[in-house]
Amino acid sequence: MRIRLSDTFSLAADTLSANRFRAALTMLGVTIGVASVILLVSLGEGVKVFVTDQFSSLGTNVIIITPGKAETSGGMPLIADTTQGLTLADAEAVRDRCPSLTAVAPVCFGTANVKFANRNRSTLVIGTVAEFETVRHMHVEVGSFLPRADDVSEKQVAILGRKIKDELFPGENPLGKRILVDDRRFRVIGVMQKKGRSLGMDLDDLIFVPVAAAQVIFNRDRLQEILAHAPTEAGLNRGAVDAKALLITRHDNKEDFTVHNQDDMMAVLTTIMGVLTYALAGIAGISLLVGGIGIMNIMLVSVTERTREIGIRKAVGARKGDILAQFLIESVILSSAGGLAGVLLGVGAGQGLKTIFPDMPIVFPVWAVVMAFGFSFLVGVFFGVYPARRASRLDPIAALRVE
Amino acid sequence: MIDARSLTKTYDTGASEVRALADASLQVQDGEFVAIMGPSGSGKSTLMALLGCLDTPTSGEYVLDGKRVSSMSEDQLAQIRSERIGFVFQAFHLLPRFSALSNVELPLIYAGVGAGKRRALAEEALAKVELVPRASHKPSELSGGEKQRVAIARALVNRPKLLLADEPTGNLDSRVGAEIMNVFDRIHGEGSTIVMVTHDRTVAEHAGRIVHLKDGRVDREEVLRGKE
Ligand SMILES: Nc1ncnc2c1ncn2[C@@H]1O[C@H](COP(=O)(O)OP(=O)(O)OP(=O)(O)O)[C@@H](O)[C@H]1O
Ligand SMILES: [Mg+2]
Repeated sequence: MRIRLSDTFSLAADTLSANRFRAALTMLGVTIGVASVILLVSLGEGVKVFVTDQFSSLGTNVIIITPGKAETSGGMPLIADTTQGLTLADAEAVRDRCPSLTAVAPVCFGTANVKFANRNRSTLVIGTVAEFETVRHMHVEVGSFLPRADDVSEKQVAILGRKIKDELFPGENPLGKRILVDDRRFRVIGVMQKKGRSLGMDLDDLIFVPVAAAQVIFNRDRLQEILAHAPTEAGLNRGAVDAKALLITRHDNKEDFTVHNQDDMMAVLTTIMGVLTYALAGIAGISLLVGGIGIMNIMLVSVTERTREIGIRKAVGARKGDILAQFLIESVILSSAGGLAGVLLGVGAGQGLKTIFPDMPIVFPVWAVVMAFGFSFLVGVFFGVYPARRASRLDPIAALRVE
Repeated sequence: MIDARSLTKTYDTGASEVRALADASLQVQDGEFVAIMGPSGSGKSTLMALLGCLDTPTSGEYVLDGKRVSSMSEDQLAQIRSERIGFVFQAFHLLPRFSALSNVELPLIYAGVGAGKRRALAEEALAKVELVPRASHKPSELSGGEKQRVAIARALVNRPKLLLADEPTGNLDSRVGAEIMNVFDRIHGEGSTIVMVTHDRTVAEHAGRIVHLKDGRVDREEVLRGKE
């Protein structure tokens, strides 16, 4: 019959508790390693989730068409005047002839002075159409958004961002009031919901006006961009291809514009951040290895100190495997206990940071916790094998002769 | 019980080879009590290590209880030690952090005996050496004689067929040594086979036969009258 596993465990636990301080110090290396891996991954994941949220608050399944070709191609650089830019007619063509794009919004924006009574403020003026609401997930709180294109009743209307409303109409109802945008009169027909900041931009510090009105204010007949949305990813991809083909024909067979996929941009960004997170976690993982070396060191010392004990155990019938298991389990207990303490420390420190800095994006991915702990377990096995083998191979007679 | 033929053991110490045993043969019957004597360095401990399956001979045949031990693997030897052999050392060799009872339990752990049964058997073995009151004491809290009795209890706890003792009284004064020898006599009376190394003639005379070693060989054997 073989020694029972439970006996091997209690032997190992017993030996460790006899040397509590040393065991704790040895564990500390692994604890710090695991804690820093968890903390770094949690921060990285948190930032990733934060960025993803920011992007999706700007709507999902969105393509952005901008004038000019983004990629550099070989050969002579083309002269600027070959670029036609994007026009309202382009946007209307895309809307009418690309059925998979369910919402298309031409955008012309700039900064202008907005004035009511004696209060005035310089702000972002976005000229667009009703579909913008669908594409960008921005909605009015009171009143209504821009009228639909076929509604020609009134062209000089404006919808205020939350902050502009508060600045120009503190405690007042702005609906129906007339404001001046660069000396042109606009009637306020709505106030936007509070949206907060996204990607460094204050989405409450702006006003919306019809795109044609914005073109007049900023004295330009071109658009800065055309936004388009499709309900599905497949629809969006088809729409992007269709819109590109359509615009090339409209632009004398020249591709002097770029179709960006917002989700692709986000994917690139999150990939970069993912790589960064893993690189940082990998560096922190090295400290785990250092912890493992500490365990190996202590286990080797322990084998030397306990040579006589090993001899005695062998003399009374312990097999090689019994001794191997005892020492291996000791090092695995050390590393796993260290790993567990590291998990608690890492998650605890993360929670602490979150309490002190509530804005700090910290997300604890279960996989990272499980992996960090699993890795600490493996460290115990890996660095425990050599000392344990040494212990198991001791010759009983020689071991007993040691003083 | 023991049939050892032409055992040799050579230690390679790098510079030179030491021949600790040169052609030693020994037969021991079931239930016999044999003492081994000889000058220091004559190979007594070396022979005991071979008989106790703690080491393997460089050459020669060793059959223990019908099993050819000389060709066994390390783990098979461990199994034999666990099941058939009890060993008592001159230096006691108890685990310092464990109580007397836990020390006695040790061989049972490696025989795979459960905790409850282990305790009962260990208490029984301690009773045989009349040390039950000291069961919870650590070795450092025991006298030399008491330590050796714990070691004997540990050697007996597996109910081995063969009890080996290498100078069991070597570290004890003669009065305590005599007490220990009483324990051996009692064990022998209960039917155990015992092989014991000693330098002390009066200790050796507890045995039925004395084997004299010299330069790694059996020099002569002496059967003690009235002991058979
Ligand atoms: N591991 C070893 N390496 C080298 N030489 C050894 C080793 N073990 C024993 N010897 C040598 O073998 C010879 C026999 O040693 P052994 O211990 O068997 O003698 P002993 O009869 O038990 O002596 P003592 O009465 O002093 O205990 C000695 O010369 C010793 O130096
Ligand atoms: Mg000796």
